[in-house]
Amino acid sequence: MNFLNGALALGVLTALVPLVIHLFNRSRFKVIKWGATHLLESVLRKNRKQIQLEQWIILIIRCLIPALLALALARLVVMDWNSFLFFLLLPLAALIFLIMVAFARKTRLLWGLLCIACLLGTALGALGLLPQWGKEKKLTAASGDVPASTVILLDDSLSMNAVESFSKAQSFIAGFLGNMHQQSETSIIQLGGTPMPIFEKPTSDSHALGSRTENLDAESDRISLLAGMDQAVSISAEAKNLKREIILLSDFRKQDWQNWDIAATQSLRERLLALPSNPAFTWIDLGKGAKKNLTVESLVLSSHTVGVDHPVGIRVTVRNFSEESFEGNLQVRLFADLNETAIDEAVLSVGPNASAQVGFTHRFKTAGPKVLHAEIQVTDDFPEDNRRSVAINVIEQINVLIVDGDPSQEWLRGETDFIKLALTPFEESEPKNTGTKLVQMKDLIQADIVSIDQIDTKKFLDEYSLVVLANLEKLTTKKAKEIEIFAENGGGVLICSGNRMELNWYNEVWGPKGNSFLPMPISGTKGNPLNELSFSRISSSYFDHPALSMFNDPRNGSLAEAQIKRWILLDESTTRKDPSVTILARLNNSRPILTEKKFGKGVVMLWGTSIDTDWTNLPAKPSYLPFVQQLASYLSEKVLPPRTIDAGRTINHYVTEADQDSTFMLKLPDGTVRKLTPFERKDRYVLEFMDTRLPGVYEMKNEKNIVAKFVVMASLSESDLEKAQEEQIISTAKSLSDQITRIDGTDGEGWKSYLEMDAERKFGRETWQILLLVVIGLIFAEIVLLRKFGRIAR
Amino acid sequence: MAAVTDYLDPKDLSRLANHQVLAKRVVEGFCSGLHRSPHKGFSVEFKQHRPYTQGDEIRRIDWKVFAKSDRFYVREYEEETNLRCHLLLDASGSMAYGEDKETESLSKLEYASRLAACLAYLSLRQTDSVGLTTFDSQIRSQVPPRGGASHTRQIIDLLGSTSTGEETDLGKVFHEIAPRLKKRGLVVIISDCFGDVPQILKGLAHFNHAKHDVVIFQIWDRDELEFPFRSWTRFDCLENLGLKHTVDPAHLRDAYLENLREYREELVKGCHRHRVQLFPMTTDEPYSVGLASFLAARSKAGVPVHL
Repeated sequence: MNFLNGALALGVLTALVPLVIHLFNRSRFKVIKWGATHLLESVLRKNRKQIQLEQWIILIIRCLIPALLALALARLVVMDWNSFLFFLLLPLAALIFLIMVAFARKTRLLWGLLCIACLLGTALGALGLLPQWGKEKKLTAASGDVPASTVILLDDSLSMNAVESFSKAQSFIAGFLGNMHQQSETSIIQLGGTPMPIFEKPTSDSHALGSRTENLDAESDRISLLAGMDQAVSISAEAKNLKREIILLSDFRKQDWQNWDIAATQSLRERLLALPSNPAFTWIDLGKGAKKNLTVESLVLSSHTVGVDHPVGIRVTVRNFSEESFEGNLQVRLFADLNETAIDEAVLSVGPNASAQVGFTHRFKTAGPKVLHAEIQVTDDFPEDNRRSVAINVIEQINVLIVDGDPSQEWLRGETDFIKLALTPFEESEPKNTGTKLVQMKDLIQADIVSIDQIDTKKFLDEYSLVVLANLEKLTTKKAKEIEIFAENGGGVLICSGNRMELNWYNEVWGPKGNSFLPMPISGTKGNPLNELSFSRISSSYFDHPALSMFNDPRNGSLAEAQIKRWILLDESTTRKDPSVTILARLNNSRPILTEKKFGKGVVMLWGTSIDTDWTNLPAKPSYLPFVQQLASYLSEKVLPPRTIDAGRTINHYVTEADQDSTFMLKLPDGTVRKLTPFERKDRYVLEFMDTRLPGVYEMKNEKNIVAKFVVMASLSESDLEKAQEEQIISTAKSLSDQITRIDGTDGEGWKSYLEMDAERKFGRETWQILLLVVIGLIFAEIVLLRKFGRIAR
Repeated sequence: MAAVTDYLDPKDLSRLANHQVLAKRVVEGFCSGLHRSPHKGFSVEFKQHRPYTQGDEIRRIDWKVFAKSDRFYVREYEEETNLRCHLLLDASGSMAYGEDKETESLSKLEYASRLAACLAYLSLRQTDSVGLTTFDSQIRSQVPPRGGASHTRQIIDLLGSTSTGEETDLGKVFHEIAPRLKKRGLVVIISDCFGDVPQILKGLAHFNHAKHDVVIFQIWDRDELEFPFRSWTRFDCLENLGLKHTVDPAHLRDAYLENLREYREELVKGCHRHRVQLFPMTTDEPYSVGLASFLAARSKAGVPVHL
């Protein structure tokens, strides 16, 4: 016996209520001193036992009604005839015989004996002393005749393409759906990437499920077994049928099973045990151990943003997962934008279970979003991973004007030497590499350094998109005005602090009393650059500003490693409510160090310490170059969210204010098109797309042309087709549930094996209809008996 | 000493005063129809026949003599003493029912005592002699029949000192009392008549045999007739203190009422057989009203009244 709503079974305790009421009434009797005892006594003498019997019957019926109702609501399920007989039929028969005892005076002995026999049968049956002759006679026939609630976990990761595992899975599902009971409900969860059910709720529409499954392709990222299992258990918990099953169709690769979390399994097991009806697990292995597989492991670009006609370095890593060795005969080809003509190719050697690299250089002739693909030309068991792609944004050149407030003739002593070096690394390093010039690399940024006197304001708007004011003492009113106009018209201004700055001038002309050009007024300076022991650091929090977001990835270095010995004090109290002002970074002492302000169409950024090594050692740290490059790109409005992402991550794309009302289309790798509309987040308009479970190229278009291309990468683990260890699967299975059946479906006969296995299983029957009928019968019986029982013998 | 007013309510007395005819009828009733011949006295002893003369009541004609002689003769009775009225008051435990009740109605014994007092009063006013015997399973106390207004005092004193006692055994008590009543008279039994009906009837037969005119006022409480109890109740026996029954009365009501009906039927039939007049009264009705209706019926029919 079992319950589908186990908690409601506690309602059986309501049977105590009539009993308590009865006892309560008995304990509160009246006392009457009675004279006509001789009239009462004869009645009592003749009827005492009868009255007691009748009261017992009524009490039993009253207790049974709520108890059986609770069992009906708890959806009691009996698994075999024995329990049905012992716990329902015999007690009810005993009750009926007891009622007969009350009515049939002459034959009451017979009925009494029958009643006792029934109760004895129940007691002996409960103790297991009676022969289990009903045990083998299940209440239901083969489990195929029982409506079932099934959750199919379908591994649709890329690796399922190897040795036709996925088509085997599809044929299994087709067989399963074709054989589905009319009242069965089935849910199919695609395990790849983020597990997602095909339909939101379990359905009994096998045709709809079938046609959806037929059109599926195994092109998702690595499966999340535990998350999928978790979803399946949740769906199973709310299933309407007693027969519940979770079928896992997968290739059982080592990669999928190695991250099996014991704690999560334990909690999953506890949830399973708490269910009224445990789902049975069936694991069907569809993957044959593939022998030969090679993959493009990585495709790394020297820069993700590249100027037109600038060379971009491409490094391709090829991994060999097989025992076969390639000696100079593995061809690697490079494609651009799905053009079937290779733009470059190379051959390389790679040993068994080893990897090898090859480099390419390419120059794009036109600006715009591009995708590069690298492909190995080899026939293996898993051809889907022989190509890897990467997105690249090709742009025109960025021109930066650096105004040096503290020039020096000595190398790296001037205020702007470090920033120039970081902005144009190739140009600066060229003279020193003249002898060993391997690849001619061109900088994306073109930087010009001028002194304060050389500022030719008329050239600003024409040639530069960013002006860096490095440690300027002050500007003439006219030049200050022109820089404001430059920013207002969409230019970027980066003000870097230093010892020469005349703070009063900055506060008066550009502070709140002037025209508020600075993000925040400067209240002074702090720190001593000569003291080696006293310094602060940039707080290493999560940066949500696009200019610094790359430092959220520790591989790009950390700003917090630099010591900042002196800084200007920025007074954030006055601008706290100004929405145009943003604090990008703070020091450990919570002082703002990098702030920006929207000024007209442009942006003004204030860097609170020196841009050279006077006040900080940041320029000597690896993070300095990406830092200034990012700031420069951002201020020139060239910073873009990453375009090559892992499967499951969100695609982000910034659009201009002018495009905020337009609609964008995103073409997915499987050819479907999704409509996207921009929304405002903070101060910019963003397009967002989260459902990136399919690896491949995503194209974003507006009405006219392609505005961006994104590459979603399948995780590398998909290429490793090594099977999971048998012992690991067995131990995992044991830790999860005791009812796991494993079927080997590698020969394509998975469905047949499943049918054979399923034919052996038996499932119980729900009894709520019967119980409800019994309850109604009892209510009726109580009414009738109450009327009949008044007429007792005199 | 019990106050007369405890037993003879001024209200009832005034009612009796206002119903002089009724009081006379009481006397008539007691005196077996000698109302219109006061000079002949109140007697039940036959004296002689005399020829019918105009003005005589037709019903006093002796039809047996007419049948023999074809002439009208009227029966005349010997003027002897006053009627002897023996009041037998049951003071057994069962008569205590109603004592504990919160309502203002009287217990059965109180009711019976008032009834006895009223009968005594009425009889004594008619210069009859009245005696009172109280009993339960045996005779408890006795006031011999005597006349005179001062006798009321004695009767009422005895009534006042009477409290309920033990079990009843009416048959046995009647057998005890019957030989003590030397002269024929009116025997008024005021009791609930709970007990073994054949035994009771045997006792009544004893009275009948001694040619007493027997009237039974059977005192009921309304509860005993209707059994109106609903919730769980413990019935403590008034006569046998050890006897207690905790029952659901609703369950028993039908059987009880059926039992009651059979018992009453048996008693009524027995009384009829022994020419005993049985008059049931319930304590929730004023006894004067019941008494009045009883007397009216008796004077009209001249036969025992059964309700």
